[in-house]
Amino acid sequence: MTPRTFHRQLFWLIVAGVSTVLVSLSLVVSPASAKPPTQETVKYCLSCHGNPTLSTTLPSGETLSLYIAQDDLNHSVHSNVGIECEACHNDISEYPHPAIQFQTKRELSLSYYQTCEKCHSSNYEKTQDSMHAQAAAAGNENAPVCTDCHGAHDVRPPDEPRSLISVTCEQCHSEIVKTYRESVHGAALMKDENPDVPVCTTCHGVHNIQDPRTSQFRVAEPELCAGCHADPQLMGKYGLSSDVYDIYKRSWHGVDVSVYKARWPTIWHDSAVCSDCHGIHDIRSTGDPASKVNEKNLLSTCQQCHPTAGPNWTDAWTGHNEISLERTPFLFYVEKFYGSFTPFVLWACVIYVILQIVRATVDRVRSSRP
Amino acid sequence: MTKETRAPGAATYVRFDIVQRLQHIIFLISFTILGFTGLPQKFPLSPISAGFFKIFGGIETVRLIHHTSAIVMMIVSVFHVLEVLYRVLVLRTPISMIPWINDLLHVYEDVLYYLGLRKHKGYYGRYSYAEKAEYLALIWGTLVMGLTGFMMWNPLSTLRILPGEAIPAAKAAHGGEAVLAVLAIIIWHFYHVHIKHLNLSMFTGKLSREEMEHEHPAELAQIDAGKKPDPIPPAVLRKRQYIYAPIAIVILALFSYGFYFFVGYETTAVVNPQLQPTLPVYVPQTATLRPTATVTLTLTPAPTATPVPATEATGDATATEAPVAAAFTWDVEIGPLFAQKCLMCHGASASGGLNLSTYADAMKGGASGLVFTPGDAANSPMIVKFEGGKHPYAALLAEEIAKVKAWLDAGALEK
Repeated sequence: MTPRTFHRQLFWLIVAGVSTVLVSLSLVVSPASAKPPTQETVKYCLSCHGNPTLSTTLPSGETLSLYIAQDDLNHSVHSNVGIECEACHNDISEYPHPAIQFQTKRELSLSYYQTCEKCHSSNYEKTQDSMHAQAAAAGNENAPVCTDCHGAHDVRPPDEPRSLISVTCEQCHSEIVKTYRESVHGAALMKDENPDVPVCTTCHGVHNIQDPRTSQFRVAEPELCAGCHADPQLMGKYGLSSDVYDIYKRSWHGVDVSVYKARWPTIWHDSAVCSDCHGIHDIRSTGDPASKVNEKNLLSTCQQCHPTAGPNWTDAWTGHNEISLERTPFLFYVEKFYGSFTPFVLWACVIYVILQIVRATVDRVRSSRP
Repeated sequence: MTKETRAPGAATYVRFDIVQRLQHIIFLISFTILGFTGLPQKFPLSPISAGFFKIFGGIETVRLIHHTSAIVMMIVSVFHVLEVLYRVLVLRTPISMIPWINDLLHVYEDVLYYLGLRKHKGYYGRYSYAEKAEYLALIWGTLVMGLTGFMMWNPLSTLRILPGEAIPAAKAAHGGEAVLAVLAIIIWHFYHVHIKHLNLSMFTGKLSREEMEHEHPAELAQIDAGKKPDPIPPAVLRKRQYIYAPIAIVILALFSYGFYFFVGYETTAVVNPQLQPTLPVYVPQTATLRPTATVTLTLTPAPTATPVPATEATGDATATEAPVAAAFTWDVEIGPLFAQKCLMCHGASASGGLNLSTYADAMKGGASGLVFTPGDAANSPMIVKFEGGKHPYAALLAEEIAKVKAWLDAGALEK
């Protein structure tokens, strides 16, 4: 075989191999069947439940509408993948239905949401560790279950658009969400669905939402904020400094907190964390006159913990700024002084001591020789 | 105050009296504690510091120890001021600790000696320049540390007088001076007093004649020449003490007042501050939570994220050739599959009379008869129902159907 024919054969061999791989890949990747799922139970159930006037009266006296809008189902994430009525309403498989066991509407919700676990077991388990589950365990009927946040027949992607998350939480936490929407984060979210600002779940978690008033949450808070505020790329987008966390860690407050975080996360401490000065749901830009850390309000913010602080006090706070000649000249020169005086003195000492050691060694060697 | 005493055997010279030695020991202890508790505060993020805080049970305890040692050091320092004043005002002891021209000469001579250009070191008097430098550094350091420490301990009071920047500057100076002091002690003091020649006179109070010859030759020459200060007549001494006493009392009062400030005057930060105007947490918008179907959000319809369902279980689906193991059994494959997929309806609630919880129950079938015919998957009512599209709401995948078929064909074994 000449090298030339060999090369030609090799070429066709590669072409054949590559096309085989591509064809088999396309077979594997393409769906086995893209047929729309059948809607038979839906069709069957809606033959009655599609009637807007269909309702029943519960023993509590509440009127329970039994109407299911086709439109809601059309937009639901479940109907579109073929998960239909019986998947959740597993106690109803035929007509006439078994008698309703629920006294109230709430009881009905509390009973049905448990079917979510069948498919969403990991998220379901997370909610069992949440603060909401604790409230429920303590006997609070209104503590939210899956359907309170996600809906029942109209389950949609919970974060499309992003601002929907705050709408969901707003159902129960309306005051907080109202405050949040006025904050620098919330305003950006509501204005143009900003993809960077935190929404409720960014800080509080999604299914395993924890009590934010605990010492653990408090001590972890600077790191939580640092998740975004120490990211140079993200902060650069908005002209913010990403050094704030590092400088905080070296401050009086930050030192305390980092020590607590490392050693005693369960012990409460008063040393200031981000939200103590900047606010929680009402965080505003420092330039905003309503900001707690705006020049005008800074002293009163400090006075929360340092009630007798005088007007000079705020200057003692060097902010989240590196030491600079322009902002803090005196501090700058003190640092400069020790930065040069200390090495100067210590090197002088070292050199002087070395001179003595050398001489003493030379003397010893000389005197040992007769 | 050096006196020649005759000990049995060799001559020794009293260098430090008991008062000076006690001051040294107390100062040494407080300095060491301050260093060990201060440096972790300067470098709090190092793992060594973290371990240190843990041993002491928290940064607060470390600060408490630091503050206590600082008070001890301040008391020794005040005592020293009073003592020096007594020596100077009452006893009229020559002020031998102040650097003088001679000391520069000694430095020059010593450097020449160390370089091998001279035969002898300088002839030091009672205190060599090395000792004087250290003493002055100690005074400077104590002043800086005391002052900046006070400022940090009482920042609110300090800022009634000074601009705000003083506090971070005090912190910087306190830390800078601490590092300088600790390292200077280790390099300068340790070398001169411990390594070059272990000099224990600060503890024993005495130097031998040989040590005197080496380290304080000029002083020894003076002693040998019999130069001694004239004794002070008692009447003069008494008069001087009368002058000294009120001065000492004023100084003592001032320092005591200062200590009071140091320790308990200022509450810098309150405990358990009310930090936030607390928002009411639970403020529902409507009486009932998210009503089932009537919530209308002004949202654009969400696009369907995944157009292709993973669950595809209708009967007319072309069953993909799932790899079928030789034989499936209820216990290993089929039971768990039904448990996962079917028990929601065909469990304890036995929808249609069919309970798939156990093998025995499953084989009994449902209200309309048997569901499984062992050995004949194609005619098993379950398969017929699924493949005929009569059980549309169940989500069995084609592979799962194939598994059940294989199990049936193999005789629908339990084990």
